[in-house]
Amino acid sequence: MAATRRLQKELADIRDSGLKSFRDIQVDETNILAWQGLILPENPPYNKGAFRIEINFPAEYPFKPPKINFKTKIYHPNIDEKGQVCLPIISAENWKPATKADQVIQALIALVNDPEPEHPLRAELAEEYLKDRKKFFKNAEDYAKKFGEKRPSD
Amino acid sequence: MTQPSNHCTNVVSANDAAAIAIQLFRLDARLCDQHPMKVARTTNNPSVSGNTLHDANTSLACCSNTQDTLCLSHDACVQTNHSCTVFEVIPVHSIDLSRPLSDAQITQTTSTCSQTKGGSTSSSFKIASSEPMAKEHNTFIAPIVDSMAQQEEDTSAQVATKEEIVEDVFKKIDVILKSNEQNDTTSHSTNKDILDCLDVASLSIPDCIMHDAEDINLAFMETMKKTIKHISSFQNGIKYLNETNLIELTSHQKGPDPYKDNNELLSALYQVFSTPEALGNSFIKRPPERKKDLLKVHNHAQTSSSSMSKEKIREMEIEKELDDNSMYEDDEVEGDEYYGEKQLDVAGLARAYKIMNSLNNDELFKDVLCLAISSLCAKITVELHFFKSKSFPISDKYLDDVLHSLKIIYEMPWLDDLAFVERIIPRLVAATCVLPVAEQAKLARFWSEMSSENTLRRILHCLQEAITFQLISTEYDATFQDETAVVFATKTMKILYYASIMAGECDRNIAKEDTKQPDKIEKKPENVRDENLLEDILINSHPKSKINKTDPLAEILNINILACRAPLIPISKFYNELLSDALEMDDDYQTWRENGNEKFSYMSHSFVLTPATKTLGLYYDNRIRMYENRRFCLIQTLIGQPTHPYLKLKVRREHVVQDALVELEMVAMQNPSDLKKQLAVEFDGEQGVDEGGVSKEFFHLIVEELFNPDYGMFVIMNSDSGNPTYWFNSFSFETAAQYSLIGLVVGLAIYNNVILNINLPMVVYRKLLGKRCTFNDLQDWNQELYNGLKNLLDYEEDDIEEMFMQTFRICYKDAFGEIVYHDLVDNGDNITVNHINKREFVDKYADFLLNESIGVQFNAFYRGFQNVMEESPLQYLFWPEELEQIVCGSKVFDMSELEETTLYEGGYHKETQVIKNFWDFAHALPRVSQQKLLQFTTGSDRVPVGGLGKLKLTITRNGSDSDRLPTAHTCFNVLLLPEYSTKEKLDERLSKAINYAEGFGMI
Repeated sequence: MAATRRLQKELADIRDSGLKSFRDIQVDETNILAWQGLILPENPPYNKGAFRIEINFPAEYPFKPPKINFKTKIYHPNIDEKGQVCLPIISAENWKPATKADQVIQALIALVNDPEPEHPLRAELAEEYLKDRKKFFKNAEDYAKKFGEKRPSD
Repeated sequence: MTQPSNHCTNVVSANDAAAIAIQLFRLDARLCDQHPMKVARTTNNPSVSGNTLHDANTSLACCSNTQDTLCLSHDACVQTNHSCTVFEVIPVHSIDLSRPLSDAQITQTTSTCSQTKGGSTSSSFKIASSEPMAKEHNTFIAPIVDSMAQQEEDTSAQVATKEEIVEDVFKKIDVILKSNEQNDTTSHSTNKDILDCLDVASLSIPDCIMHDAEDINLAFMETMKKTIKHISSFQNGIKYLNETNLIELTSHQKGPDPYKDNNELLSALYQVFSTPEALGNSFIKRPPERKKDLLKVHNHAQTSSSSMSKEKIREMEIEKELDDNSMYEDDEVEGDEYYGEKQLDVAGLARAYKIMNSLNNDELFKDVLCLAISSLCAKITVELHFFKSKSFPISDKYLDDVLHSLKIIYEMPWLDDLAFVERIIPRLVAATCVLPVAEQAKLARFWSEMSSENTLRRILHCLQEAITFQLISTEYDATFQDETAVVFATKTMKILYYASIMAGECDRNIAKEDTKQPDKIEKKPENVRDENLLEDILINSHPKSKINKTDPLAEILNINILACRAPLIPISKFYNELLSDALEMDDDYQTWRENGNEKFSYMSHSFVLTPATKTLGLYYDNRIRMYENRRFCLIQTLIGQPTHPYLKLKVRREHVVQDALVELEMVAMQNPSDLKKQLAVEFDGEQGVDEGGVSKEFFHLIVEELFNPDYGMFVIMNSDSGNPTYWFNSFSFETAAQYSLIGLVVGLAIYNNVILNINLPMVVYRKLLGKRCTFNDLQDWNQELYNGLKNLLDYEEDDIEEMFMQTFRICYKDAFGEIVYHDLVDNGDNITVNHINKREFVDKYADFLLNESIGVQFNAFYRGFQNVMEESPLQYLFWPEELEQIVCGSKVFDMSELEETTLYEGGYHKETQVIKNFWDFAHALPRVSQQKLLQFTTGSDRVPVGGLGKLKLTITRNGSDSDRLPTAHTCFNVLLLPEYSTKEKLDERLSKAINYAEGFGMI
C-alpha cells in the first residue's frame, strides 16, 4: 500500500499525539482514504457538543487535497446545511502537498471556534452572529445540544 | 510581386529601363512643378508612391524611394531652414541607389541649395571632387549634365527665394529631359564641381548600357560599393554608432549653434543608418570595461553642456575630437576582433534610442532616420535580389552586417509611429524577406532570445498595421498573393511568429505520438479479434501526401508547434481580420494545394488567418476531395461499375451505435476511401432526406450515446471542480473498434462541417495533432494534480522522502471508484521519490495518465479520426485550441441558462430588486467580462458539459447595503452579494470584484 504510506504515518502520528480536540478517529481497514472523527471545540457556544466529521482523501493524496464534511449538524456561519465547509488551506488553489492532515484539522477546529462571518457560507447566520451575538449563541448552543454528540470525558 | 530575376534583366539589359526611369522622373518632376510642397508630402506616403511607382518593379521602387527622399528634402528645405542638414545627407542616399537620373535631380537640387544656403553644402561637393573617376561621358547622360550645368549657371545668376528656386529647378529638369529625349542638346560645362559630381552619379548607367546582363549586375554593384565606401569616409568619418559616440554627438548638439551641431549628429545618423556596413558595425556588445569610457564621455558631455564660455567649449571640442579619433581606432580593432560573433547590445541600443528620442527636434531626426532606412532597405533589397539570382557575390560578412542592421532597425521604439509604419515598414519587410532563409532564422532566434516581449508586440503591431493599411489604401482584386507589401509583411510576420513560439512556454524533448506503429496492440492476441476488422483495415489504408508542405524556415529553427504550449504572443494576436475577410480562400487554397511552399499562399502562412477562415480552407480541402470522389464515381458509372457518390448510412434510431458500427465497418472493409465521401444518413422508417440536418441529428445521437458515462467508454473527470471533461475510460470493456468509431465520428463531423457537443480536455486535441503529452499538459487535464506535482518538483527541503513518503507506485481510482495501484517502474513500490528522481517520477506519472493508461483506447480513437482526416491540412493549419474550436464550436455562453438554474439563499429570491439588478448587469456584460464573472464565482471560465445551466450557481445575501465587495466560494459556486441599494452601486462593486479578483482567502 505504498501510495498511502504517508497517510498511514499521518494517521499513526495523529493517534499517537493524543489530540484533545480531535478524537475517536475511525478508519475503515479496507479504505484508509476515508477518516471519521469527533472534533471538540473549546470556545462557546460549540463547547457544548462534539461534532463528527469525515475527511476524504483522494487517491492521489498528497498531490490533491482532502475534503472535509460535517456529519453532525452545526449552527455555524461557515458550514452549510449539508455539512460542507470551505477551508482555504485545502482549496485547490492553495493546497500544498507538504500540508499534513494534522494541520488541516487544526485549521478546521480554529474555524469552528472562531467563526468568520465576513466570508460566510450561510449568510443569515453570519448576519445574526454580527448583529445579535446573544441570539446566535443561544441558537448555536441549542443546536449543539440537540444534534451534537456527547463529548467524551477524557 | 514579380520575380526578382526579371527586375535585373529589365533594368540592365535594355535602355528601356532608363526610359522608364526618365518617365517616372518626369512624372514626379511635373508634379513637383505644380505643387512642390504638396507633392513632397504625398510622395512620402507609400500609398501614393505605391500607386504611381510600385507597379513598375523593384529597381524602380528604388527610384521612387529616391524621389520620395528628394521631395521630402524639398519639403524640409522649403519649410524649414534645415536645408543644409538634409541636403548634406542626400548625396549619400542617391548614390546609394545608383539611380543616375534621380542623382542628377538631386545634384541639381543640391546646387540650388548651395546658393540658398551658402557654404553649408560644401560637403556634398566634396564627394564630387574626390571622385574623379569617370572621365568619359556617356552619350546618354552627358547632354543632361551639360545642359544642367548651363541651367545651373543661369540659376546662380538669379537671386530668388528658396521656393522659387526649387520650383525652377524642377521645371528646368523637366525641360532638359524633354529636350534630351530629342537628343539635341549640346553645351559645355563650366561648373567643374557639378560635372564631377555627376560623373560619380552617372558611373552606373554607362556600365549598365555597355555591358550585358550578368556583368552589369556586378559592375553596378561594384560601383555602388565604391561610391559608398568613398562616401562613408568623408565628412566626420563616422563609420558606426554606439551608445558612446552617440552621446558624444548628442552633446555636440547642446552646443551654441543648434543647427550646425544638430547637423553633425543627423548626418552621422544618416550615414550610419543608410549603409549596412556602417550599421552592421554599430551597437555591438562589448566587454564590460568599455563602460568606463562611456561614463567618462557622459561626464564629459555634461560638463560641456553646462559650461558657458565659448572658448572653453571649443577647447573641449578639439579635445573630444582627439578623444574620438583614438576611440575609433580602439573600436575598429575591437570591431574586427568581435567579428564572427556579432552581438547586438540590446540594452545599449535601447538607451541610445532613448537619447535620440529626447533630442529637441525629434521630428527632424526621425525624418532623417526614415530617409536613411528606406535607402538602406532599398539597397539591401536590390543587392540581395541580385544575390539570389546568383549574379552578384555577397560575402558572409555583408550578410551579417545586413542582418545586424535589420535587428537594430526592428528594435526601434518608435517603429510604430504612423509615419514609420507607412514609409518604413513596406521597405523594411521587403528587405527582410530577401534575406536568405538562414539569416531569417538568425533573426528569429535573435528575437526569441534577446528582444523583449514589448518589442515583439510592437513589431507585430506594425506589421498588422502595414497589412491593414495596404489593404485599405489599395484596390486589390481579391487575390493579393501579388500584393507585395502584404505578402512581405506576412512573410516577416512568419519570422516573428516563429520567434514568438520559440520564446514561449515549450516542452523539452517532445516526442511525437507513435501511433503509426501500434505494435503493442497487434502483438497482443486478445486484441486481434473479428471486431477489429474495421480497425485493421483503417491502419492499412494510408496513401502518403505528395507535396512537401513543410516550411524551410521552420525546419531550420526546428519549430514544433506541438511542443509549444503557449507562445509568447498569443496566437490570436497574429490574426488579421481584414485580411482573413478579404481573402478568397478557394483561390488561395488552390495555390497552396498545387504549389505547397514554393509559391506564396496564405494557407502556408495560416497564422495570419482567423480560425473561421482557416476552417474555410479545411472546408475547401474537404469539398475538393469529395468532388474528386464524386467525379471518380461518375467515371465508374460510365464504365459500368456504379458506386454511390455519397457515404450512405442507414440506421435505426433505437440502435444508432450498433447500426453505425456495422455499416461503417462494412464500408471500411469494402472500400475505405468511401469514408471521404459526403455523408448522407437515413433513419430507418423516416422520410427525411439528408441535406445536412439528418446527419447533424445522427451525430448528436451517436455522440450522446457513446459519450454517456453509463455506456462505459468515457468517464467524467474533474466532476467536482468547475470544469468537468470527458476522458477515456481506461477500464472500458468496449473494444477498440468502438473507439475507432468515435474517432471516425469526430473526423466525419469535421469533414462534414458539423459541430459536436463534446467536452474533451485540451490534451486530446494535442494528441490528435500528434503530440505525446507530457507533464506540462497535465495542467489542462487536471489542474489540481498538476499543482500538487509541481509542488513536489519545487520542494527543496532535505526531508522530501519523509515529507512525501512517495514511491514509484501510484494510486488512482478507476471508473467504479475502486482504488488501483500502478508501478511506474518495475518494483516501484521500493523506490522512494527523492530530489534526484522526482523529475523522472513526475514525467512518468504524467506519461502514464495521459498516454499509457489510455493507450489502447486512444490509439483506436486516433486511427478512426486519422482515417478521415489524413491528407487534410489539419495539422498545418490549426493549434490544438483552434482544433477544439472547430470540433465543438465556440462554447455557447448563455447567461440566461445560468439565470434559470440559479438558486437563492439568505432571503433573496428571483424577484428581489438586487437580484434583478444583478442579472441586468450580468447580461449586459461583454463576453470577456462574463467569463470573468464566471471565473470569480466558480473558479473556472469554461462552460461545463451541458452548458452553463449545469453550474448551479447560488446567490446568497451577505448583509444589507454596505460598501463591502461581493465575495464568492468557488468550492460550491456561491456568490455572496450584499443587498446594494442601487444598480449603480452593484455595477461598480461587482465590476471591481471581478476585475481585481485574484487570490483566495478569508476576507
